[in-house]
Amino acid sequence: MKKMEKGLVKFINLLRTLGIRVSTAEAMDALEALQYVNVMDKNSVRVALQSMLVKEEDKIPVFEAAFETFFVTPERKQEQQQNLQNEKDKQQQLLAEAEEDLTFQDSTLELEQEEKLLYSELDEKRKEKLQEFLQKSSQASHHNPEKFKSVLENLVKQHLKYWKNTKEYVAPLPVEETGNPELDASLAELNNLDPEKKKLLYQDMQSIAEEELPLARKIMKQFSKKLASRISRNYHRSKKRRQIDFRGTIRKNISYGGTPLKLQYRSKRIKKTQLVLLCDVSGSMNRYSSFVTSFVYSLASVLKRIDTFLFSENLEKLEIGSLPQDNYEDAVFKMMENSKVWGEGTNINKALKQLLKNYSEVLTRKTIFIIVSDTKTLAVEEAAKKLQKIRGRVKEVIFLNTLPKEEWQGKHTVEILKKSSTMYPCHTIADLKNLSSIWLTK
Amino acid sequence: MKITMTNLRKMMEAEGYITSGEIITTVFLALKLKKPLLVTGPPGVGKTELAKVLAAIFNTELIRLQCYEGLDENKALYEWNYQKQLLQIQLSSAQNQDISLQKDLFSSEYLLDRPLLKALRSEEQAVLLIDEIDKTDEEFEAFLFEVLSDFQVSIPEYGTVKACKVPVVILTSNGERELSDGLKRRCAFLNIGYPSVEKEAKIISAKVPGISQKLAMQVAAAVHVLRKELEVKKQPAISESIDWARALMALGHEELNPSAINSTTGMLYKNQEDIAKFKEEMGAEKLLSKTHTQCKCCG
Repeated sequence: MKKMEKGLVKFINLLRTLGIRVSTAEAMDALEALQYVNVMDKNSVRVALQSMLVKEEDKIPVFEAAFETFFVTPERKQEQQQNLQNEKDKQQQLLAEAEEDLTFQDSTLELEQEEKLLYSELDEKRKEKLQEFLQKSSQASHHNPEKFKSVLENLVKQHLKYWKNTKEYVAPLPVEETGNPELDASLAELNNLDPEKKKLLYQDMQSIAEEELPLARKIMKQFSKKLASRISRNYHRSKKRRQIDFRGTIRKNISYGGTPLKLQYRSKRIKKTQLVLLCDVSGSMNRYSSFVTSFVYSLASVLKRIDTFLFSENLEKLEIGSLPQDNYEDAVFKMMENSKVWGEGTNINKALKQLLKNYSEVLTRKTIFIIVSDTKTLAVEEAAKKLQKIRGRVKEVIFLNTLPKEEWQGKHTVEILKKSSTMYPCHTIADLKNLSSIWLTK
Repeated sequence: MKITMTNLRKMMEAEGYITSGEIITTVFLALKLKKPLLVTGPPGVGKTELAKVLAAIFNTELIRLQCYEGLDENKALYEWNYQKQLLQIQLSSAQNQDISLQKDLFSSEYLLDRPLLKALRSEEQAVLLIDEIDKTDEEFEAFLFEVLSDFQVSIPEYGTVKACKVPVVILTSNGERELSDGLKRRCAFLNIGYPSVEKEAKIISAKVPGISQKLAMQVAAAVHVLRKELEVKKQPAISESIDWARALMALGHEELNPSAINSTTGMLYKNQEDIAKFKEEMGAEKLLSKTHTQCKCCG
């Protein structure tokens, strides 16, 4: 039994590393469940653990992959550990090769380990092209080679980053090693799954892809509904039995001599929130264009009282309310596609200035102001001032940042704009779920 | 009755609930561990039916709480019978009797049981079905915690009511919204998906008396093709397969043919957009040919 408990604890740790939340109570339930099934039958064990440990449908594939990788014969386990060691050796070799290839005037470029590994994943043609470029740069004469080297490093980093964002690249699982050789071997094995299966494992850790839009839309709809019907502290008369309406009860029961035979109730009033949505559709947001369109659509389909604006360098108001209802979705998408502001540079400051000048009537104490952008803007200080001004006029300013949370650190534009708004990351399905749950509990 | 996995399967099959080993194991564990069972899956795959079958197996009452937005404890748990209490006060004052509010007026005599309390106070082990929990508000979900983890409820004026016999609790959800971690933690979890062609044919045979094996298999295979190849708003579920098979039987069809399919499309798809999509992108002829490739008894 001791061995089984230890194994289960390790397996639960593996699940947690892969993003499945398992509480201690659930772990105890799982252990108890194992007493009622034939532990020699792998399928029964899988079902027992799954029913007690996984409570979300979309996490079942993650659980199944983890189970298949973890519960293997001792020989297979040893093989996994050997594979992990080989993998590490191979990685060292790849890093050394990358350092040898990526040099400027015989000095190695200063790159992160992740970037060096990204380089090693490039195909030969791309590698040759990069080497050729570095060689030419090395041979040319430079006034200040040190300064040029850092420019070169940035260029290489940008090139690698660009490639990382293409569809060809399948990233390793975004999980850290646990330090436990057994678990790390399982994680390494999961990393070697074919791309399709691997995608299932960390679908909510990656940026929102086209095929995940339906899920993203569903979450956005929940969020929109919550925004649309935020409960106020005011009560109004209602048949929903929330709180007794004393005045109404007395009035109603006068005919019974004041004896309260029929009770009257009050329930919470739904606050009519005015929403103003400002969507960045500049060039840098191209990657998120489908998400932004979906976001606008989700909000617009739930809320009729919404003012939607698109901006890049200029601001454009979308007249969604006037669209035909029968093919609403297509009409919204078409209208957004035809917008003149798509793909220009970003200037939040200019957009906010135009908003304050031409549409100031939409900014009231009842307004929730939502801005969707990656914060990459010109004149960020000015933009922050305008946003602060808007914050003073509206109920709340929510900034949905499409930049991954890990890139926020040290980013000047994020730091500044964060001060004038409540900023939430909005890059992955997990971010959206998180955002939705924050609002559900508000 | 001692429950084992084998006799649970037999009893469920005897009630016409044909299912996989995975579902049997999960239900068995929920019963053994005395934990509520949270069942998710698309509409029409047999989530609610599972509770009905369990009630039939245990030969007990099925107490159903249908959830909706705005459901509160007065409708789900208990309510005081105000009218009766007032009449009692008036009667007592007319007869110059002393009445102790706490002791006499807030006693079980004036307590109106709603489904949750009824399940707890039931002397026989009841099956409590909390249907479509995702339709309620989050506040109500939190309110359920005490019932689901300790099988008791606290009524401020009355005290704590503990379950006489721990009920079998089944919660269903169509996934309209994310349920809270607290609720999920207290339940065993079961996700029911669409069954395989063979299993669905078995279900149809069990639910539609007199149907030929060939037609049951053809219906199951056709629905399988539709789910896989046609993206519509509402996929036909098991309940639609059964309705379709019944409709085909009622019209006297022994096997699938284009005219039979065309005259019964309304049994598979319940909105105009989906029917139009079926006609445009699939059609009866194409469906039939694909069904023949899929279906073993058509070969």
